[in-house]
Parts: sequence; C-alpha cells; structure tokens
Amino acid sequence: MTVTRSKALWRAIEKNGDKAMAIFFEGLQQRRFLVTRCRSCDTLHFPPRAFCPDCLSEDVEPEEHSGKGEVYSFTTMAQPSSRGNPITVAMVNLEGVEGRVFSRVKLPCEEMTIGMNVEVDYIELDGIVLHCFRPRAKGP
Amino acid sequence: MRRGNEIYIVGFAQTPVRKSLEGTFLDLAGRVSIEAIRKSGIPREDIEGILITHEGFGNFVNAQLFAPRLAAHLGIETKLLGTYECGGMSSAGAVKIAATEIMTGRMDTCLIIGVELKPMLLDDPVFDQTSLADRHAGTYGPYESLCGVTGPLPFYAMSQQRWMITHRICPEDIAYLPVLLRRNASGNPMAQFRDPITIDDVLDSRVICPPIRLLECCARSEGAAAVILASKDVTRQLGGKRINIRGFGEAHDATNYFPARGDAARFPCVRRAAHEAYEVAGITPKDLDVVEIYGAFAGTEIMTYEEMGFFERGTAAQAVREGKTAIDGELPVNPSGGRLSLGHPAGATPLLEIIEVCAQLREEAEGRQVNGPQLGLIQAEHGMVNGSVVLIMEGEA
Ligand SMILES: [Zn+2]
Repeated sequence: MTVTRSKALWRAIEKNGDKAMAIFFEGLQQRRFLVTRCRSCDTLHFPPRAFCPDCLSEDVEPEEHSGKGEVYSFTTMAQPSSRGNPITVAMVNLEGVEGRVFSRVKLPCEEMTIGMNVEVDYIELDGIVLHCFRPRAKGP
Repeated sequence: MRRGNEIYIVGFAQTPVRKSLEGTFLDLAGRVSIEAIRKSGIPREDIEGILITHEGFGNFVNAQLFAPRLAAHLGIETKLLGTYECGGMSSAGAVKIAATEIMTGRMDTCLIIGVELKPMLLDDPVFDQTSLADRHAGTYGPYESLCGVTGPLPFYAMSQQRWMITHRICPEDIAYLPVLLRRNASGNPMAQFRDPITIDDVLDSRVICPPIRLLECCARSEGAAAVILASKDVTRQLGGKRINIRGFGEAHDATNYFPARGDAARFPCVRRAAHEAYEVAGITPKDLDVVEIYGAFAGTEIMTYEEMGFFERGTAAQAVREGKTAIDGELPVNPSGGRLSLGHPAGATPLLEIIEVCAQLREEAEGRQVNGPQLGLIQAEHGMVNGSVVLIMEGEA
C-alpha cells in the first residue's frame, strides 16, 4: 500500500510543479534542505525555482541551507488523515533566503511566539521524508 | 463611467442562501436567470451575452462547456458566452467583463450567473483525500498541501495573528463584528443564519485555527444569483429605479494564498482596486452610503475595511465596536448579514453583494433598510485576499 502511494506521489511531484520542485523533494529524501541560488544576482530563494523570480535568470542552482530561521507567524491545523490532535504550523523566514517556508512545528501552539528561532527537522509520512521545524537555541 | 457608454443593473434574482438547496446547477442557474430576465422587463431574445461562474476550488462534474449548455437550456442566442474563474471574486470579474463589453458599445445587455453547490470551507472535499498524492495536487500548492493544508483557514489565521499583534487587537474587539452581522441577517429572509448571538457566544465558540473562532468563520453554503446589465439606451425604455455602475477597479498581487514576501497582514490589491474605483467614480469613501464587503472571516473583514480606506489602520475594530458600520451607523457595511451570517456560496457571493446593494439603493431591503442611500459599493476577492474587485453603484430616479 505504501509503495503504491509513494509511486503516485512521485508521479504527482514530477507532473505538478517544475523541475526545481522535484530536485527539492529528492533532496528531502536525503534529509537535505535545498533552496535555489541565482548566480546572476546572487540571491537565495524558496520555494526552489527553475529561474530567478527577481532577475528572471535561468542560471540558478540548488544549494543546501542550514535550515535556520525565525517564525513569521503560526497557528494550528487539523490533521487531514488521522483526525487526531491539531498540529502546530508556521510560516518561517529562513536566514538569508527570499520567500517563506510553511511547515509543521514540533512544539505546542501555546509555546510558539512570533520571531522565535527554529531550524529544519524531518518527519516521515506515507513513505516520504518531509521537512518540519523544531525550536533552536539562539546564537550561531 | 468616464470612458465609454453608461452601464446599468436592470434585473437581479437570487435563491435563499442555505446549507443545502434542492436542485442541480442547471436547475438553480435556470431559475435565477428566468426570474432576473422577467424582472428586468427585457425580452429574452434581447439578451446578448451570458457569462457564468462557479466555485473556483470545486471540481464538480460537467463544469466544462457549461455556459453553452445553459444558453441552450434558456434558448438564448448570444454575442458573448463563457465561464469566468478566478476564485472567490469570479462572478464580480464576470460582471466587470460584461460591463466593459457594454461600455465599448459592442453589446447592450448581458446576463451574469453565479452558482455554488459545493461546500467550500471547513469541510473541503479535499479533506477526505488522505493520500499524499491527492493532496500534492491540491489547491493549496505542492509544498503547503503536502504539509496537510486542506483549506485556506491556516493562511487567514497566520495573517490575522500578525495584524492582531502589530495593532494590539484583542479577541473582544473582533467579536463585535459577528454579533452585528447576525443582527443584520435577522432582517434578511435570504440569510442562512438569523438567530441572534452575543459577544460571549462568539468568544466561547471553539478556536478552530488560532486566533480564529468558529463564529468568526463564514458558513459553507449553497446559493445561486443572476444579474442583468444593460446600456443606457436599453435602460431608458425600462421602468423602475435605475442602478448606474459608476466605476470599478481590479488588482491582483503576484501571490497565491500566503504571501512569500512582504507584510502578510496587508492586502495591497484591495487598496489598489479601491483607489482605481474611487478615482473612476470621482468619489471618496466618505461619499458611500452602503457597502458590501467580501469578508470570509471576521478579522479579515475588519482588516479589509482599513485597506478600503473606511478607517485608519488599526482602528476599524474599534469603529465596529462603536456601531459605525451598523445599519444606522455612519457607513453601514454588510446589511445583508455578510458572509458570516448571510452565508457564503462562493460562486454566487459577489452577485449576492451586488443584489443587496441594488435592493438597498432601490429601498427594497425590508427589515434591514439603510436610510435613503444614494451611493453603494461592493468588494470581492480571491485566495487569501490576493486579488480584489471593487464596484461602485448609484441609484438614479
Ligand atoms: Zn536573480
């Protein structure tokens, strides 16, 4: 069952976005968080892009990011599959990256604050590795 | 309008807004079309265009080529026929396209229909699609959908969260709006929710997506509406109080749902669309007598009042609290009950807003009539307010 779902998922990933998106999800499977660097204007972007949204250059490449960032906003969300307890989710500004990242956060909503420091972590769902966030101590 | 022929709204009809309605898309679209044509006094064969709109997120059966099917059903030969879709603002966008065709003089009349039969928020059909592949292809984008987003609510919640913290808005400030809208709806037999509620009811209702509570959410609804536009020449031959479209504006940000950059608690598209409409009509917000705002959630609705220029940034919640937007206030907003209490059949919602403002300007809004309004406005949006349409209307003797 898991195998069938994953196949359908990867087909969806290949068909629904651009090539940069497929590379991003491939990266997640190796627990690497990839953003896009534009070599023309030297800007980092998320979500990954096949061209630079700022200067439209196609001279872009995937680049691994530390995954460090801070919470821009947060809420909780019902879980679609299990209908269990709501999960905490957030929009995160990654260090030096243009474009926010949405994902779940491994922390109860009551403990969340805007501006808090987080870093990328990984969870396995339906046979695929996905990114999430966890709190991190301030500093380098 | 400054440029081109004058446009008038000469006929309109709607179903009640309910959790569910009897009938199919074709049944409801046919019913409101026939009623609007009859009320307009325009012979059926003189209708020159048909534009339809349906819920943007829904993937209901038979959506393709539905406009030709409806034209055949109604027996109307046209010079303009099609479907317009851009999320929640779709039917307002269709009205704007029809108005533009009339302005150029290419045609004199157009029928615009919006129908909603599928629940949209809080019980999204996607909710039951538990496989990641299904969700990946979902409405909310490949990245967000994979994280389990099955509706727009979390995005609205995160936007409102920023606004509340920036302007020190407390839950009590927001809770006044749902109470006021429910009071307005109690005078509207078309509304889905008419029983009074209190501030405590709102504050005690379940927090669905912090900071948003259940009674601050729009309802999932079914409904249908039709509006007929006509040129000045055609309108002159008809009786009744004429409603002139004085101006419109439309603007879209380069965002879809939660903005990746910039302030997520601001809606620049609303500001731009409103300013365009004010400028074309030659008015300021102070000139308005009655307004319908899209407002799918209470907090977002209040934020939209500020972007429209009705109140200073960070002060609209207080203005609502002081009764300034009540039916007897200085700027009555959503006398219909709004999306929270009239209900929100998204495909039809912008037309329902237009119909409410027309009824108000014709002083036919029994039970919720604003005192002698001359100038009205509607605003509609799509996504998490990523784009907006604004229409300004005036009642003429
Ligand atoms: Zn660039």
